[in-house]
Amino acid sequence: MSQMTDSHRLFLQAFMSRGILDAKEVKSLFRTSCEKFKTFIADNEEERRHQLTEFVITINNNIKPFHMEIKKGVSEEDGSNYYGLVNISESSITLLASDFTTNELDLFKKLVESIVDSDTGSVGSTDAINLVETLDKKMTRNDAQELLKKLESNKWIKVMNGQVSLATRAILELEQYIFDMFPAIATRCNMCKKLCLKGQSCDSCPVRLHFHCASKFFSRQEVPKCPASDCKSPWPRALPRKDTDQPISSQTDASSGGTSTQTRKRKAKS
Amino acid sequence: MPGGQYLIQLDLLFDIWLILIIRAKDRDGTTSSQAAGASQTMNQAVKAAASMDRGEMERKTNDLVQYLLIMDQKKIPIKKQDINKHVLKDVSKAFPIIFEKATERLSKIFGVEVVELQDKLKGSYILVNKLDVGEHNPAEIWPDEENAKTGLLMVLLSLIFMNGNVMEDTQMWHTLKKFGIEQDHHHEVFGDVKKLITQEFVRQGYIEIVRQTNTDPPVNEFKWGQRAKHETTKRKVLTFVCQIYNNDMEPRQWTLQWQDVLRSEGRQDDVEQVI
Ligand SMILES: [Zn+2]
Ligand SMILES: [Zn+2]
Repeated sequence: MSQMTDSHRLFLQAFMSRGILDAKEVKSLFRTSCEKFKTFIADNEEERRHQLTEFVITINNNIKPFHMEIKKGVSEEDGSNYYGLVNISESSITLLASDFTTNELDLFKKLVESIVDSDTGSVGSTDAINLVETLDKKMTRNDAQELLKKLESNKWIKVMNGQVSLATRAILELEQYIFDMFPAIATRCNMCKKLCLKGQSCDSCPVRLHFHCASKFFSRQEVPKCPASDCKSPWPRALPRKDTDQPISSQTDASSGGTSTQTRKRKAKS
Repeated sequence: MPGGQYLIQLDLLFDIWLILIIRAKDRDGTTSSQAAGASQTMNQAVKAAASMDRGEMERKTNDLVQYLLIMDQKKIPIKKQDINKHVLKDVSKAFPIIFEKATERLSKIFGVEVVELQDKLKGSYILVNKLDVGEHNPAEIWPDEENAKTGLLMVLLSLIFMNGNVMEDTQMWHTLKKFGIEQDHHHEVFGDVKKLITQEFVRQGYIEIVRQTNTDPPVNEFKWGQRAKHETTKRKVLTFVCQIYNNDMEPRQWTLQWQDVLRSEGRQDDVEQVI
């Protein structure tokens, strides 16, 4: 196993302090980490990408015994790439625990559950705050409001147009936890096989697709059809533009949300 | 330094926000184990460790590394008794051995050093970054979400240092007022700023507040806490202050403080030359 150098350590420390970085930030962090400690860095773009991959593999091999990993994730909003430092032990949610009290953590778990249970991958912020009523220990609405702010600033959740959803960092970190805890309601994207909270659903079968996966998939088809081989129903959804950096418009969101009353809602494992 | 004339001006406040944690280069002295009276404990530890199989030793060591990293995010010193209670449990007799191994891994893989605090904080540990990232632009490589808090902390540490390593609380609050920080007013960035300064920073070990009872009425004095002494140096703080002056001042122009810097670096001979 390759040894860590100071460049690796600096790179890792930035991940520990930030939690998640986008692809561009990772590249510039890689450059800075190498330059700071006079580590060779290739001029050639292709070579440099290869070097970065090796670099991350070395770090991952070294931090694996501590149940940590630098993992690549894709934003459910726009399909852009992110890299996050995640905890891969069974008790994934422990990493969050350091920053939060048990009661706050309970509220966050309830929030995760209702987001997973929703068809849009989001819940209204008032509904989110009302979750305090379901807690065993008392929490005021004000405290819940503060907690949402804290979760947002730590990049665990996203709040947009009064809707709360899980940010890429939370999905990276909690994907396994979500599948373990809510096996009946957590769905995988039919294309990339990863957890799918925000996306489009088939009208006739349980298939779900991320927006960015759908646009990639349907770009090759003239008449969009459900990808499931035993379904092939027409896919009458507005398709997001391909390779866009913009978040998918709220209109598209609403149109996919329109299929809401499907049979997806079942009870979570308790 | 002439009384009442403080270094940091309101219009420079913004620059300060941008200056981030200047992590430790200060690695002198403190080691994580204490030699005195330890041989008895050490014998027990060796015995306890010998009775563990290799897999268990590995697991406990790695759990401890993970625990220390997670707990350090709160920036609150980690107590030995909590390590025993939450991680080592039935093998807590082997503490010194497992702790040593965990310390080694933290250094080799993460580039952080475990430091035991002293005096009444004995038996508590903090993690200190030991990568030498140089003097300038920590912002670029060490982006910190708690930017503003760190800025405020640097202001406090600077004020204390420039004032001769101690500052009375009335004087401190009077000065902070110029930054729009008042102890009984809700601050739009920091919220309850009094609590932040007198509780959070104190608990984290950045600031120490000492009550002087030999005056009437008794006064509280602000000093650097132990974590501050490990995470930064007097030289860095003086450099920071000079930067705020747009580099119009050289560190050595602050004669008293410059002597203090040299003394803190164990350069007594140079101090005499300055005088
Ligand atoms: Zn997908
Ligand atoms: Zn279908």
